[in-house]
Amino acid sequence: MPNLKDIKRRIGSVKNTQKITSAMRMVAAAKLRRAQDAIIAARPYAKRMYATLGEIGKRQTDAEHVLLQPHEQLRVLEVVVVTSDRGLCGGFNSYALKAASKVIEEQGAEFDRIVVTAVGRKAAEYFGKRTDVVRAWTGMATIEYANAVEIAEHLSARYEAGEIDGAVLVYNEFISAMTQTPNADTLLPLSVEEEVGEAGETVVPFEIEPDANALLNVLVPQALEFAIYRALLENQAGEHAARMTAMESATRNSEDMIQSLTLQYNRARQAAITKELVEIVSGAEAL
Amino acid sequence: MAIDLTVVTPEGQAYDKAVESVVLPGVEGAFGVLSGHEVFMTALQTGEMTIETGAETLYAAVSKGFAEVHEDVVTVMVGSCEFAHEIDLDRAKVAAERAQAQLEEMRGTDEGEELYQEYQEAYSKAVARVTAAERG
Repeated sequence: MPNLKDIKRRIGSVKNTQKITSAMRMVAAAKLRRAQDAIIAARPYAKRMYATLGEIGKRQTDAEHVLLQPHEQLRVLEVVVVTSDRGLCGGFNSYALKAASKVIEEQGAEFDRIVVTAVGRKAAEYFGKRTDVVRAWTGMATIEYANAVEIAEHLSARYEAGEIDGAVLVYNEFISAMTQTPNADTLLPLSVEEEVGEAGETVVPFEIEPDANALLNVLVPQALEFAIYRALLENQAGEHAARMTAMESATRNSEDMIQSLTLQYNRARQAAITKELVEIVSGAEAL
Repeated sequence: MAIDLTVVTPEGQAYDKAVESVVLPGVEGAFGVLSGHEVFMTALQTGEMTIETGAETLYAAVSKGFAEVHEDVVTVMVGSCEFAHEIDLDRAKVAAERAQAQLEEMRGTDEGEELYQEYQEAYSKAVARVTAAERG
């Protein structure tokens, strides 16, 4: 029989843990709201950009951009893996890492070499031990567009220089507070057609200045930046949602644990009292 | 006569109001848009945007993007848009000086074109912020 003091101490420690997990749950819930707002704020931009991109694609079929051109030889593939910086969010990061490993395995046949760019500390740690990590971005507190621009520039510079012949982006897509699914999107060569499907109504401009190619020079990098930005936002919202769910069940589990420990404590207390009574009675009888 | 101006950035809608006129930094030089402007579309470079609302003049620093002018509706899509009152002038000045120093350091060395363009972009961004903040 464990002694009373030990059980009491355990109950105290579980209660403390419960306080922490429920606080984390609330923080995650608040952050999730903000992350969702950011996703919604990005929508009008996405709609406009894809509409314009589609418009240009339609009227100027010969317009070309280096980021749209597939390379003849497929030598190096860069896989960009997006995870969170912190753990304690259930299986969230391991899903993304698993999906990335799968991509690496599958593409291994087509490309000679596969390199990884990690966004988020979890990805950096995981792939740091396994493959070539070209660059790692960690410690982004809140996602800003500038973060995405930096990553996009890194990729497009390497693509243009012929250092890489393709890029795939792996991240968790935020579907709801309960579900996040890992996604693998091809970033480079960028395909316009795919994106245009999402476009809304289009405004038909009569004149493009200076010409469609110049506009494409602005639009294509923007589309790349935006695709990365969106992944970062999705990842951020997904992280908080996953943490919220994980912390909720942790809080519930500790509640169960407290209950069973309290039961154990009461039993032990009763046993002790009974024992004392028996001792007193038998002592009195002996007299 | 007023025009409907909408400025959209990935981080949200930065501006959405009826204005008298707007001056935008096009890739081939700044251009103004008044009511009844020709329908067209153009790429924008990093620079300064000036909005005349009729009651006041607003200045903002915008980064690369494009603009669509369509029957008194102007849509500006840029990576970032900061209005003068949102910019910390001292910090913008420091950033501009740093960017200039980086550019000058590069002069004479045969570093990559990429890096040069990156610095150039940072410099024009910083200058745009400083001028916008000073005017506003």
